[in-house]
Amino acid sequence: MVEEKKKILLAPLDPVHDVGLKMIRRALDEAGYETNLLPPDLPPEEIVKNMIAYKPDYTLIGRTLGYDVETVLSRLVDLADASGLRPKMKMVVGGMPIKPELAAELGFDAGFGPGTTPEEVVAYIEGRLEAEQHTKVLRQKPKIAEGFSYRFVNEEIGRLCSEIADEALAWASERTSPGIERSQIRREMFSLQRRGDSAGVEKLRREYAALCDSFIKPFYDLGQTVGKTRLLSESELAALNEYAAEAASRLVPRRVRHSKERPLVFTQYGTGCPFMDVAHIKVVEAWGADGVIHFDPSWGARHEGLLEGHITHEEDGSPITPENLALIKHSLMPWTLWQVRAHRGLNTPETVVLAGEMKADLTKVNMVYGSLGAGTDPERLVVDGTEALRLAAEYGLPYDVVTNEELCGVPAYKAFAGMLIVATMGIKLGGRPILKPLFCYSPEVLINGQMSDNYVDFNAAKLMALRSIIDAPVWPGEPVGFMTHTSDRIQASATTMLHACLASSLDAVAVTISSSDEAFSGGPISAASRVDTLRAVTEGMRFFGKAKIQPTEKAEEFARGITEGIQKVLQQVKARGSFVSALYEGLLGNKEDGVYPGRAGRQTVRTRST
Amino acid sequence: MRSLRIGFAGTAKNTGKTTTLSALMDSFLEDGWRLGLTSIGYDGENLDNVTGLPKPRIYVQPGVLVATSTRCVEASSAKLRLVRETDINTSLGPVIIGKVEEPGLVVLAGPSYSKGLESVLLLFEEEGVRVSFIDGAFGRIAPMNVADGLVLCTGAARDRRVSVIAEEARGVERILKLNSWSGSPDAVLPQGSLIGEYPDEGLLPVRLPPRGAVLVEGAVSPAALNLFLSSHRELLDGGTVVFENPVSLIAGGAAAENERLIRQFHSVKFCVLKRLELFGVTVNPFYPERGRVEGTFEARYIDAVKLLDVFRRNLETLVLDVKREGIGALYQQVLAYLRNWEPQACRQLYRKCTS
Repeated sequence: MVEEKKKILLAPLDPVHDVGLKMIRRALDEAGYETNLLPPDLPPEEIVKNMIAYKPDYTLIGRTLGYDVETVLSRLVDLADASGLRPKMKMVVGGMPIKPELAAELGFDAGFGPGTTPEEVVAYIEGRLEAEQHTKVLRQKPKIAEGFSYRFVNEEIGRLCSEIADEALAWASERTSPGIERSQIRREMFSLQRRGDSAGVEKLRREYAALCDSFIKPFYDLGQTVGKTRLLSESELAALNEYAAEAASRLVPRRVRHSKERPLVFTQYGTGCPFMDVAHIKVVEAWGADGVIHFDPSWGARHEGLLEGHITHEEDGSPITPENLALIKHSLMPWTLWQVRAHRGLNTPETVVLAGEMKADLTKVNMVYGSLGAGTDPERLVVDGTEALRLAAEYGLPYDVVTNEELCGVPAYKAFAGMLIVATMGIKLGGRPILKPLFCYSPEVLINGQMSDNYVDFNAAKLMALRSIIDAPVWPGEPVGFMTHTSDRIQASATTMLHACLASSLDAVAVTISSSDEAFSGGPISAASRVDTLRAVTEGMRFFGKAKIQPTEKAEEFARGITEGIQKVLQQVKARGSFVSALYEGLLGNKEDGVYPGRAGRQTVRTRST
Repeated sequence: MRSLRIGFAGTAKNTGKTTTLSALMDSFLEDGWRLGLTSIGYDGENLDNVTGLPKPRIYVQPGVLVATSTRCVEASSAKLRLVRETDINTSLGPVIIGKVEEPGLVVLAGPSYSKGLESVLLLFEEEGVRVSFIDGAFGRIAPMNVADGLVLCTGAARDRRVSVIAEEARGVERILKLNSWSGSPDAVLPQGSLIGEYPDEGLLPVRLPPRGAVLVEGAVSPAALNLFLSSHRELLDGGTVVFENPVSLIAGGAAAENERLIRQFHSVKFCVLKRLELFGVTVNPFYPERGRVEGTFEARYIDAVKLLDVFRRNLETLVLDVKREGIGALYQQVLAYLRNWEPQACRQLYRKCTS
């Protein structure tokens, strides 16, 4: 609401292009301001005459720059000052290629370049926007998992999930593991660190080391590096801080979405080196990503214990350590959502502790995928995963439950049954799970032909099925369309964009996209390829806006099949009477599907009484 | 205590404002003066915002007070200690006053309009600054009306035709030499009366007193001034037309035309309420020329000797090419002005500098 009606004079200095100012005028009119749009291409003297007569609070000038146009603009500013107008009137210039530096040089109070929205100009006039960092202030951190009741629409499936979850939670509550014990020690270490008790921290560190395996233990006992890692040097850290600060100071993010607030767009990082990770994060932040997901090395899931310190890794995956995560957190723009994955290995509860302590926004937990598709013993991961779900609820961290086992060949309905069991366990523990089915050209569809005509119907069917079961957020993963990529970056960008737009059309809360070279890079991915897909998705979102992609009637048929399949699997699991046994026995995915129970952490679970 | 406020006004970009300012500042610093530095635009950057060509940087020594925006502080290599915050905003953040603690390069974006500049200069003076340096931007001159005097910087970047830029500089010189006037005007032409193609009849007084004193407020366009003078010639003959300050006639690139009108209407006396001293004119043979690749520019030069020669033949004021001849003559010119300007405040330092 406008308390005192400000007067805005809009002057297109450009002989032809005044569309931008017309759009801004409309936004200002709608916001309740008094506006006066002058005819295009008036000489500076005539504009100043109008300023004197109209007495505006703001004058907005629109002009595309060419050589010598800046002279005209500076004359206008000069005449306004010499006419005594400037103390009571702010002058703003917008157009190509206006930057804040050029606006300052020309004598304007603010300058808006290409991509500025009318809403941003209104926000500036209303004082909601710092002139020097307008988009930074305007962007707020979005909330991803709010606005859902988590109530089952399909009562039968809800009943089955609830009963299975109750059994699993009761079973897990009587058990513990080295992973849980390390998470408790790590949590206590943070607590002692906050109190400045370094001797206490060191004592706990020794206890922690005793719970690590032979791969991790030498790091704590002997100070030896592990695998292909090394510590970042002081000068590298100083350079990183300098780089991150400078990049942040210059970062003016683009907007990926056009007219919708969702889906939030996530990208993944995990180059191995925290420095490179920060560089990649800065690139995707600048090109409009809403969130980033931390990828750790594959060995991080297989070994008991996490490392400490600022550690860089020669290969893919950046080690999860308190210091590395703090470094990443420090580099993030205030609006960027940050997910630290904890879903699949022997350090699952501790990773949630680290995510919570480091103020991450999201984590990831799925005991079914982790134990069938990622090599962790089902019994161990159900125990650890349950603790992780409890910790996530305690830290207030939403988490996604991803069905990566689809990539191994597990049919969607079977993977979704597992996802719904884990989500129900999380809901019962007070958490906010996000369902994450894959938008992928999976082995299931390759064999059975659900995508022989199009990629729309079966992907849409997944969301339609889940929505018919439960009112919960859905975030297609991960990354969407990845299995349709080729080494052609244009093709990869196009298919990523189309999958993301399908997620938007289906009102998903978020979508994860890859770079255009992620499938075929054969090593580190390039920053430019990240821009490829973000630009492509931006164009796609602009093209579709709120318009829908219309699936064929096959989608409903697929959705019914998935829902029926989920129900049958849940009935089998319920009949088995043990969630853990169901995992071992392949009810949620078996060797024929392409998965088998993992072995990492086998026989490490103990009952709490012992 | 009031400082001497020196503005460096250019007729265009790339005319040598920053080079001249830096050289003169160094001379004052060597002699122990306490200096303040700001800009009405954006200065000290590596590359020109329009042409992309390298630009002169501004190196500052410890003790100098700098008024610049917060984002420019981050971009400066000189270490500044925050002395004062201001409520003046720029597109690069609020303006702060900082004292240089460790020498280095500084990027400047200070207040871009007169009132803001006046506030900053007063803060400088509260902090003991004795000479304030104001870097200009493009051909903008209006904020310089709060200065005591100007160094006019011009050259081939404004126009490659030496006669044209010399004529313009001559016009500025004559306007700056208009006498000051004080008293009660018989009629006042409010702001906006003489802007544009025609005088604003609605703002003009119903009757002008014959041979009286007419005060013109605000900026003046040559076309409107010409029509006003012509249509009221009989009444104005023998009278006085008073402008607020010389920049009212120069702002908007109108110096040469307005000055021609002043000469043409020689039966009218033209004055200003507040004068601005012209310390000197610097000339720069450099100009940027469009490159073969769209959007690129290349450095070019006109004949520097001819440039100096034409200017010296046409202007009464000191003319120099700072890169070829150094800053000494201009420094002496300013010191000579200081000797008479504020003897109480500057006598001691002046003696030190000239001994």
